Amino acid sequence: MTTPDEKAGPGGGTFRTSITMPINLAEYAQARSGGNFSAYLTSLVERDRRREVAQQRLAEFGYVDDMAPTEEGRARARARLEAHRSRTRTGGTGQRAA
Amino acid sequence: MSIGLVLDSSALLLHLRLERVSIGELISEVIDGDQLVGVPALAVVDVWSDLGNADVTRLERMLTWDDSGVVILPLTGDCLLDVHGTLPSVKGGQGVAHAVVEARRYGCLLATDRPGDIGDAMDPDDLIELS
Repeated sequence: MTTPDEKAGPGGGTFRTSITMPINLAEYAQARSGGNFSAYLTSLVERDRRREVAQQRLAEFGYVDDMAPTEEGRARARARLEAHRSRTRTGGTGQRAA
Repeated sequence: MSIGLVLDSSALLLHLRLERVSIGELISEVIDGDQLVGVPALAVVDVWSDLGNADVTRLERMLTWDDSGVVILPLTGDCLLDVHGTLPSVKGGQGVAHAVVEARRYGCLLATDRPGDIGDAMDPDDLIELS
């Protein structure tokens, strides 16, 4: 059940809700959240939305129809990126925040 | 967020002209990895005169969207000194040198359509040649 916060304006404010999830995942989430379960879940949703919007932008840019990314091509790109990440993790190349 | 991929001038040109789906696939995967794609400012300057009307429209979108996962990497004072120091070791122009500097800075892959332009400025394992 979801209840809107009465102080919330359009698109703002907060919602209070109850959720159901398997105990093992709930325990994991509690441990990861550092005691702030709401902030943790909020960050996951924000990240998911950010990715979704960026993927929509890619399509809007022109990567649609015959230029739409293919699963095969994405798998190749993923493998190449992951191989480089693994190499830099073990090789110690630093990453700086943008 | 971190930079997961830098485009050099040749990769940027392909992106703006929508000439290879492989670059869209790379960008899509970088986004899904919760990272950003970096476009060096000098690479933008490099390609601008080679763009047609539709390409310029896409460039304008790229420059104004702040939620696309693609960001412009500015030319700061420190960076300018690094670009100057890198220019002799690359065979491409200033945009390529700026891309090399940024890929080294962030420790990420450099996407290019012209690996020969990079010269010996980067380890070949840090390059991804667009298919």
